Amino acid sequence: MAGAVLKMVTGLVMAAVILGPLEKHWDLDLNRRFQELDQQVSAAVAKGEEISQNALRQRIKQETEAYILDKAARLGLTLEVRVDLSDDDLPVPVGVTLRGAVSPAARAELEAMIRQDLGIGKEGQVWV
Amino acid sequence: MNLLNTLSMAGILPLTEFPVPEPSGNLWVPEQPDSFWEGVREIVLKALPELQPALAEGLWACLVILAVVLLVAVVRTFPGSTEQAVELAGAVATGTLLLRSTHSLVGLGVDTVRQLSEYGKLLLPVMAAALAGSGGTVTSAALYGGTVIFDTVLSSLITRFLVPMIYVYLCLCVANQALGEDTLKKLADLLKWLMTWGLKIILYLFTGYIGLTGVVSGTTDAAAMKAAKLTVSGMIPVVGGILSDASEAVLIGADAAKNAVGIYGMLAVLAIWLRPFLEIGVQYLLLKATAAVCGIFGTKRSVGLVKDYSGAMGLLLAMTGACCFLLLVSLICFLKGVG
Repeated sequence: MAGAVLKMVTGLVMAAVILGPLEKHWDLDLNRRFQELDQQVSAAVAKGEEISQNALRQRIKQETEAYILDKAARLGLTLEVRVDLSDDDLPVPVGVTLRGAVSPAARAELEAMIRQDLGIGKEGQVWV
Repeated sequence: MNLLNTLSMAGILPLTEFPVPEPSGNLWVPEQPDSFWEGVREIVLKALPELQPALAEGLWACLVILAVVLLVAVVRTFPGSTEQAVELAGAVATGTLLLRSTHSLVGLGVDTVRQLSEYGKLLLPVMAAALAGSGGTVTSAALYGGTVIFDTVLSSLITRFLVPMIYVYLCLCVANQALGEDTLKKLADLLKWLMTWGLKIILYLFTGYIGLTGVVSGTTDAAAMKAAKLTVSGMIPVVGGILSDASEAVLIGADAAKNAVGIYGMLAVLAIWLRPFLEIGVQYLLLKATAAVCGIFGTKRSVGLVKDYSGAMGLLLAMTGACCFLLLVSLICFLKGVG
């Protein structure tokens, strides 16, 4: 009888030892942890999108300016070109600033090319 | 890394936009491997010589254990010797001899789990940003969030619960050898089963989550990219051509950056994990071999105790392996990208 009681008490003590660590960690504050995680995830994804978007805008601007300069060179013109892009997710050229000495005929030809090939109307073209 | 330098020089994507985190205090990560497998080979070749001290110490401990088990078996044959007293002495001797090495290896295992978790916290945001930059917005959020949750659960479970339970398991095994109580043996086996299945369930759930994420979020991202391509194709040909070329160049650059960071990250994870894993593995194999040799002449209980200690090393291997597996699978999914 005493042996059985001793075994039972020993078993209960061991069970308490095994389960003891669990009790300390019930307070997980899951809500706060998930909110923090959500913020971290959003920040990382936004950062990646921002890097990609900046690189895309830079690339489109460079290629559009290179296109205009190439066309101008074929007309014998030496110009400085600055292209402005829209703020959309897929930015498109919406304006161009051209600086340099140009004859009226060459200017008209270049304006027509920019309007036809790049979709930038006369109001978007600024000659300095 | 060479491709990334080329792309950076071509002005497609700035190299510094996705900085690769380096694991603290670890000098094993290859600087400029020619390929992933070259990097793995370099890490393995660095790890193997480091095992010699552990191997020597483990061999010495196993020889002493062999001697103790042999002594117990011999003393038991003496007339007038009490089985209980002899087994108790054997249990105390074996347990004490193995306690020091077990404690240091458990500490090494816990340290490895913590290092892997901390490195993951540095690496995963960079991978998520790189994948988002290459068009996988939904996939990157799902992978990053899911990996952090499972990694936190796994590392917390291991450091706060499973590791203390290893000590409880060993206490039960030593008590079983000393007292020969079947109940203690059954309790120890139950504990081992619970720990093994606890790890398995977390890994099964993680693998299931990864599989589901790949299908659901991958489809969403692929649809978004297709929609963007359709928008571009509907534009003026010259503008459409410029946009298409620029988009493709940026995607290629972001993909290359993601791959470079991911491959370095995988090598770093292996560099953190491999040496401790091999050190614990050496002890596990030595104890297994010792138990096999002791089986020839030792008593059932003393041989059982050596097997139990090797079982504890096996649990430690499973814990460190689980953490490494989780991170590597996540990185592979990031590398796979969209579709």
